[in-house]
Amino acid sequence: MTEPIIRVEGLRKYYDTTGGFVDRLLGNEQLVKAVDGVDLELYEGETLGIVGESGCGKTSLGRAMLRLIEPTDGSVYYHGEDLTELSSRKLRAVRKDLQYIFQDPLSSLNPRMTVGDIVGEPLDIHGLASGAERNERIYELLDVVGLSPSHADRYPHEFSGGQRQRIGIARALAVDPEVIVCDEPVSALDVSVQAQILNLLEDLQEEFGLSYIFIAHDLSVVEHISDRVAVMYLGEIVETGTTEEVYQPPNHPYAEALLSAIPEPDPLWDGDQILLSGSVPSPLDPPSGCRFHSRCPKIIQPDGVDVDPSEWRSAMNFKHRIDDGSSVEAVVARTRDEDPAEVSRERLDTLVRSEFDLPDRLSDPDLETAFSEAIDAVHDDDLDAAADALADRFRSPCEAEPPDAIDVGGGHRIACHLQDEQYADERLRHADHAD
Amino acid sequence: MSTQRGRIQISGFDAERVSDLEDEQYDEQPRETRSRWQRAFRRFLRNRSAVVGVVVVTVMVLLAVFARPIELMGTVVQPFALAPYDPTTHQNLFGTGASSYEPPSREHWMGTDGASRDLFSRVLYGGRYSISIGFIVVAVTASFGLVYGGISGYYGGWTDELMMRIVDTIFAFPALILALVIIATLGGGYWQLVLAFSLFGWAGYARLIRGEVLKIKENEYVMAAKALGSSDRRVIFRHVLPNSMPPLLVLASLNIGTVVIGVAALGFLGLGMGTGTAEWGTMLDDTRETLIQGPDGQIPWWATVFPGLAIFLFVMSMNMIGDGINDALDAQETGVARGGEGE
Repeated sequence: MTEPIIRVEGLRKYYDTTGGFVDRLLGNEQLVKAVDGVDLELYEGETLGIVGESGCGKTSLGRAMLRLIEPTDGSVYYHGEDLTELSSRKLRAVRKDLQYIFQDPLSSLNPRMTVGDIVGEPLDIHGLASGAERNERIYELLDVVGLSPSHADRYPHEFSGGQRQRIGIARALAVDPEVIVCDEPVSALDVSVQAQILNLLEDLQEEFGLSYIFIAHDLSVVEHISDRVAVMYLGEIVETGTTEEVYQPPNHPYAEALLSAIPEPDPLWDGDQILLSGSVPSPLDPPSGCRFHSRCPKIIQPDGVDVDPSEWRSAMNFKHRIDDGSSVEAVVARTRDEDPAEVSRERLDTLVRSEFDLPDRLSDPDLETAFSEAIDAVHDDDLDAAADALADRFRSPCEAEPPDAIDVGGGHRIACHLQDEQYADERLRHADHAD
Repeated sequence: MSTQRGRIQISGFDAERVSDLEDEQYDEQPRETRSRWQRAFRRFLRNRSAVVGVVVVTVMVLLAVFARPIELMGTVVQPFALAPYDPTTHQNLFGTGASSYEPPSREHWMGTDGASRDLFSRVLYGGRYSISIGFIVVAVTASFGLVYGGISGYYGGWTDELMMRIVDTIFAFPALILALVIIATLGGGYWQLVLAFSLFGWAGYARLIRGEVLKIKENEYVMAAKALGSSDRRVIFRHVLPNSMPPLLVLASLNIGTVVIGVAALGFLGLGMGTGTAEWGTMLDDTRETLIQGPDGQIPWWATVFPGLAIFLFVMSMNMIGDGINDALDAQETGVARGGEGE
């Protein structure tokens, strides 16, 4: 394969959410790990889609790549040159080749500048054109993105959302870039306008030989425009590959859940939507091992345990609740009319099993013993003892070891233990279960 | 039922047709780019109260300039004299023979003051001190505050922390007290007054601009400018500060009035210009005994009303101008009347 135009290695972006300088003095530092060790390649003329749910670090990744926000660690090589090492003067010169299109087309345009000045600004900054030539170039750029030259002396607020996004695109094109990072460029637009903008981006790519990094949360949009796709979860890339590869099995369990959620217009379609339990964990304190283990429906079972995957998932949910909880009320949160701290041992057992969808007896006797011990401890209001009771049996290799990205063929990489030969039996279990 | 996707395909969306549709709306001829300042100016001219303010201030400035001839290093640069008398001439001794506190008449349009000087001439001439101090002080403090606040807000962190603690210290003292202290140390006089109001007067602008900058720099267009390769200086001066101008202009125009009132206040306390100077505040001070009781139990209202009216008119007009500037520069202003306002 040819040399990538952009290569990202181990990029990290942590945000400091420490309250103030007093907290900093006391050492109460809190870091939000928005992007945590991302590797990516972008090849010339291709579109790399980056998908993931809100708050998984897509935007931070896009901005840290172009050093619009200062990355905490890692390198971004553009034509072999490390952007993170460049002086601010050199970086400004490189910006001519690397452009960015923003999600919100209104707030990214200065309300006090006319469209002509907005599109002309990059020309001024890099001294590309002036006077009549500058006007010509502005009119030409507006024409390229489907606006009229007569719009040049209007203000951004006089335009519709789609037109504003066209202005943003014209501005990015003004410097004749090689790479454009599109940060959810169509998320703020309605569907018919989305199609126009996507077609425009594709036409421009063909005309000017652009490479795109296309950040989005809409999987259909990404499938439409991307050549390759990277799936992000909690600041990490969990799967990369060509669009065909990522949209077909095998998948990372998270990507699988995302794909199952794409709406299908066929009323006779009866696909299974995979509902993930819980919500996205806080990036302040991401889960150990594989970051997805706390929600993964295919979480791996330890040696000697062989139960139904959904039962195992529920058991692990119970364990996490015990680990994080501070009181009995936190463990049994769904009851309204009963106080879980007051009920009998048997009643508590029933409540817990119904809350976590556990069967009356866990199918593995060792698990059942550990579970009973934990319930005893919870009944005594001793969550630490409950956690200890569970620690031995209720554990998964996914919690302990962060998975490596494993190549499953042709550059399609999945960061999941299930792809590891070591856990091949586990793969079989899920395959059997699916049938 | 099936789990296979894609059995229904949606077609018929013709991108060509959509772009053709759009083109039809855009068939106007290109015009020359009109800058936002030109637009703002036109909007300003449509604002009646602001135009009245400008007219009043302009007239007062012209009257002050042309009240008496101006000499610079021996040569007369401005030969006109609109004021009928010299503002310092005692009319009972050297002029028309009018006594002190003569009521307004055809000879003395605003009457005379306690030292039988012509009040009309003094009010015209007095604008020279008050107005020029007002404009100079505001120009100096606003520019300094703009840069100070801009740097503090844009760079943030420790820079901001340190710079704002200095501002806090200044805010700990009432502005007029600080001015008083400086005048008491340096003595009265024109440049002493300018210094008294400038030395600490920038703090308000700095605080305002810093807040504006903190707000504005979160906007994506600031990041967009950086993404285009703008230098910090360009980002600050082209994107951040212009967007923080409206509140600054409003504060500045209000502050011209405040400074004029401050100068008058110091004058009224006998601390501004020397006694007998034709400065509006000092004139009020010279005649303040008339506020309570004049000779013969009469109150010579003209001695205080006319200088006071001059101060009022000027400050009021400046405020109307400030409002007009704000509305004109606000690019989002749609021209739709709010509440009971008419266009």
